[in-house]
Amino acid sequence: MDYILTTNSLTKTFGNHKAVNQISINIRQGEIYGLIGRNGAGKTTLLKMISGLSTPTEGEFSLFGHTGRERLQVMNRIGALVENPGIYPNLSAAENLKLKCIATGVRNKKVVPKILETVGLADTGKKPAGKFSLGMKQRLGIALALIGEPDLVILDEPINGLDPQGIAEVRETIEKLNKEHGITFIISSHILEELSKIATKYGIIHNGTLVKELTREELMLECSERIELKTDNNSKACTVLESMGIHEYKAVDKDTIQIFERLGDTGDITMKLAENKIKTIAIYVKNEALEDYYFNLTGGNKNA
Amino acid sequence: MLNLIKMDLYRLVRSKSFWVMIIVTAMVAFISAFATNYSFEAIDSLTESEAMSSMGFDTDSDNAMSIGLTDEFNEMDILFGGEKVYYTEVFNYDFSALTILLFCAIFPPIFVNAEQKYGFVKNIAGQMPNRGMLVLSKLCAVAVQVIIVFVTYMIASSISCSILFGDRLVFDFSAEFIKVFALHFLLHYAFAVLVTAVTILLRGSALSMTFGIIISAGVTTFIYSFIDIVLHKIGFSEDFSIGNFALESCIGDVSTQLSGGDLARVVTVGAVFLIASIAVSVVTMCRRDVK
Repeated sequence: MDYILTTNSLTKTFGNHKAVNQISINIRQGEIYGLIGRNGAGKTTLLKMISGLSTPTEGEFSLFGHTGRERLQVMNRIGALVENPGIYPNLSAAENLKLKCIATGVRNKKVVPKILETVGLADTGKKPAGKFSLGMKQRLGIALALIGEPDLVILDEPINGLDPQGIAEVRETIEKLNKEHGITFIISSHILEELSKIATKYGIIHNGTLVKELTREELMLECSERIELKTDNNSKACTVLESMGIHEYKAVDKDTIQIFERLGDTGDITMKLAENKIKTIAIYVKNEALEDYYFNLTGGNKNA
Repeated sequence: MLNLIKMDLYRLVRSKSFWVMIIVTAMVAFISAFATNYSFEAIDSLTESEAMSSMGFDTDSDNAMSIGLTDEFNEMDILFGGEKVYYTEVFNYDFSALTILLFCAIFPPIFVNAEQKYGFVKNIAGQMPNRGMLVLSKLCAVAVQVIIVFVTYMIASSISCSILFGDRLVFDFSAEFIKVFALHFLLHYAFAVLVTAVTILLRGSALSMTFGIIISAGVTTFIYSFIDIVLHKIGFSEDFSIGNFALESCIGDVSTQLSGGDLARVVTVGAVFLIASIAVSVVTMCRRDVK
């Protein structure tokens, strides 16, 4: 699979402040990429650069394999909802969508009703968008991003202001569009639990820097329950574990082994290691919630 | 580009400010002829010295204000006092009074700024290979706005003049009318684009509208006089006046009797302001991040 988006040391500076600092990410076609970070981390700034609303101070990015001036020709394959939805309050939902259809040359008259139905705004009629609830405005913003059948859709905090049912519906819509139409999504959020239900890859941003990038499986692995074992001789310890029939383990570094099975057998493990003259420095069961994982990664607890 | 123009025209006819503009223009145009004619008839019934005294001027002095007022009376006399009232002259008189300029200062900034104010620009700006097209399409819509103001004014003033003057009114849509119409359109459109450029530069319509209203109210006359004093002191000719190169002054200079030199000056001023304002708007839109 080709990369649909590649950024190379993207940086955005405002005066002396680096809002985005040397971020390099790669997103494949068909992925749902979750961009996680607290308020002010640089998520929106990064998304604005990718969606063409802001010029990078340094660095470059390629879209659909195109860079530089060539990239401008394929920008119409992106749909974006960045910050608050941009809608005219005196126009109805259909009229707002019609405006974008006209601007992008979409002539099919069935597009607007179909997209309104997709986002759950089919019954709004002529009601001015200014009288919508926050959730409805958010849905209209998502609808605007879907005009023109984009290959890449950028959604900046799309579930802001939505109730639980609305959040579930947005999630289902994204999953459906991803599976049935192969649309790639980049979704930013600070609600990790929600993002974890949908994203296939994650980029964690803190203070403008990409702290970590990992797949869903890797994230689950990082957060799942396990035994953390520290010994004075890891390579010999691995042999002992194998002899005990323990095969689901990972040597994280020269001091630490993570064991993902037989979580209740810490005593047996310690005794077996001692029989083989391996000193156990520490052994404990660890279970990290997503948010705790994120806070530990970004030092969030210290700053609470 | 054509798609963007269609989008802006679609939005223009659905914006409240557009219909307010038409209604207000029509009302002002309709009432203007009656108001001007009433003033003329009231003053015409007095002798010149009685008219000047009623306005508090010393009829024995030849100060600039009294001379200017005398010119004003003479112009109105030519316009309304003869056997025939020529629509071209009425049209030019109304537009040279800068009333329509006020509309060009108010409505274009409201329309152009709405896309930025409500954030709709974020939905389309990133997808354009050249963001300057967003500005050019807006300026096409502003041109349509100005034309509609002109046409609305013409229709309403034609009706009111027909009621007022009856058979005396002559609709002389000749080459002279086309010349006057074209000159006023160039200057009014250049002014609308100038105010639009300020709106884009400042990312808001409040200051740009204020700027436009001040100019159309004639307040800049004092500023130009001050600049002239400074320029004359540093060696510029006494005949030189910076006001001759201002849009609002050129609008006041338009007439059916315009000399070749004045015609060239008026057209050049209009063209320069138009091109410079378009350039500033396009460059600003292309270089600046979208917020």
